Amino acid sequence: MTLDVETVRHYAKLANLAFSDAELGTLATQLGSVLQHVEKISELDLGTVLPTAQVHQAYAELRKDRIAPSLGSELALSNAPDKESYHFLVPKVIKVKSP
Amino acid sequence: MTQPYPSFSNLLADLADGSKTSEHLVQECLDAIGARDPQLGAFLEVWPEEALAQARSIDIKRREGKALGPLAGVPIALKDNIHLSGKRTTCASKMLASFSAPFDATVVKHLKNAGAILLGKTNLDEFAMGSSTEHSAFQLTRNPHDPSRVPGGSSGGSAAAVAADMAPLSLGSSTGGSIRQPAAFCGVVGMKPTYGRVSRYGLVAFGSSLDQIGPMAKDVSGAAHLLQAISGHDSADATSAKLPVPNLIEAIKTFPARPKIGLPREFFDSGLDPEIRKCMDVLLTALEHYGAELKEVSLPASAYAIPAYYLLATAEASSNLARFDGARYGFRAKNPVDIQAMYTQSRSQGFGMEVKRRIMLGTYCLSSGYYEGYYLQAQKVRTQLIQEYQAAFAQVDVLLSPTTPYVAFPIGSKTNDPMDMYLSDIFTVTANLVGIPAISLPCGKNSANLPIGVQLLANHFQEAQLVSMAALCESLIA
Repeated sequence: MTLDVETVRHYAKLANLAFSDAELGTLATQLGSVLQHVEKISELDLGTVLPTAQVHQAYAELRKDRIAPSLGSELALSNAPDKESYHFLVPKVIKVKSP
Repeated sequence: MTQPYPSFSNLLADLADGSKTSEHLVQECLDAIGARDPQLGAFLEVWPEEALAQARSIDIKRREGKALGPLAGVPIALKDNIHLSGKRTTCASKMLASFSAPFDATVVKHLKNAGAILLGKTNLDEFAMGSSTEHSAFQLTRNPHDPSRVPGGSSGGSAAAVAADMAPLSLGSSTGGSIRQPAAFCGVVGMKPTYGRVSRYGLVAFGSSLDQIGPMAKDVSGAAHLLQAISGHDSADATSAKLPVPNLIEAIKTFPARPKIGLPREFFDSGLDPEIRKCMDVLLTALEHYGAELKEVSLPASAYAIPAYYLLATAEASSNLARFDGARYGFRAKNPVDIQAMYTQSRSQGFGMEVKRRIMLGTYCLSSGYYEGYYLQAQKVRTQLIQEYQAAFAQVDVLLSPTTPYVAFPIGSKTNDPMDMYLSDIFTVTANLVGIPAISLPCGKNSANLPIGVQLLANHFQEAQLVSMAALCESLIA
């Protein structure tokens, strides 16, 4: 399994990551080598075997829907890189239409 | 390596009868940290004043005859991906370098209730992704038995802290072997409980269908006491099992009579390091003399465990780590031009290369056109492995294997080839994929005086049987 640099660049975009050209080249080689190894699982014929997502229970355990105290906005905002009153501040999302 | 307390039970007895105070014990740990940690780099943070104050308060309560918890006065080191309210949780990443935990992990609540003294936070591979602790963004951790070698990973700091007597107990976390592998490399005991036995609330998620928190200690008794304190159902973790917790402290007092031990053929193949093989043979002979029945078993899908593991773990990691986008917490890149630049630059500058490599692999195998061939096929391999292990446990009580294919390797020797590093988890990943409990304990040393670990595996929720068997092996090895 080999990966080309453009494929790696495409997946980097999907993962919200940016790499230098040199890093993309290294990643193409390293990911290609890992994929070559993991490719081995396609050898197994597991047609009728069901996939396992969770090992010991077949259903989701839900707690009772009771109101209880939660983190609180002050603590929830305590690690924010940027904030204003009770909001997280991020760069403007809405584009202003040019006149 | 000195072992001031051959048994953790003796340490508890000394604390209980006053022949040792908790303050004295904490001071011994702090002295050891002062003497050895500048070289070893196991700790990212230590809280000497708070630990001593807590110890004095426990000592006073004890003198006054007040009721104390089961781990009263015992210092414990925490892997730095577990939240302790008000302290930093960095995951050894630039991404969380200044992140302050807003709440206690459930295991930390349990430790506080048990009277344990929280000593500090230990180093790890960034976001627990690695097998050598070389992927920490902050520092290298060295193996106390040979500082030119790695301590293993990802819980390398927690293993080194216990091995160098800097803490009698520590907590690690395991996604594919991150407790047992460093325990083996550092010559200590490390245990991964059954998936669901210990709450992960407050553990920073890596591979959610695999992650478990577990104990590290000098001996099986220490691991059993620590696991006892942190186990149990927690409504804050939907994967936490609603099952009674067995009495592990009683379990280690009784050795199993005529245990049936399975030896997976695939784990003892010709590629095994001859010195590790020899250590296993010595233990197996002693077990046979004790009256154990040894039986070869076959787990053919084991050959596909590493591929399945790295597909599932990276897929889950790519999804879990999507939350680190610079918006609500963690690192944010300076002056991004728009919100997309904020996401991309914050993640690219905040994560280290190994984390990015795994996110990339996970993104690839979850993407359209590859999902069925990779992720779904890996989940089917997981089912196959579970069925093979169930068939084995129908014949034997526990399985036994080496913990690692080789001893601790030199620092820098595997960092250029990720696949080579991934293969060091070859004997440990299946317990995480199958969800069963597994323990590694020291089983002698090689000719270079480096520790060798033996691994025992039991069926789901059979921790009592597992620690009892481990205590037997420990007594035979001693």
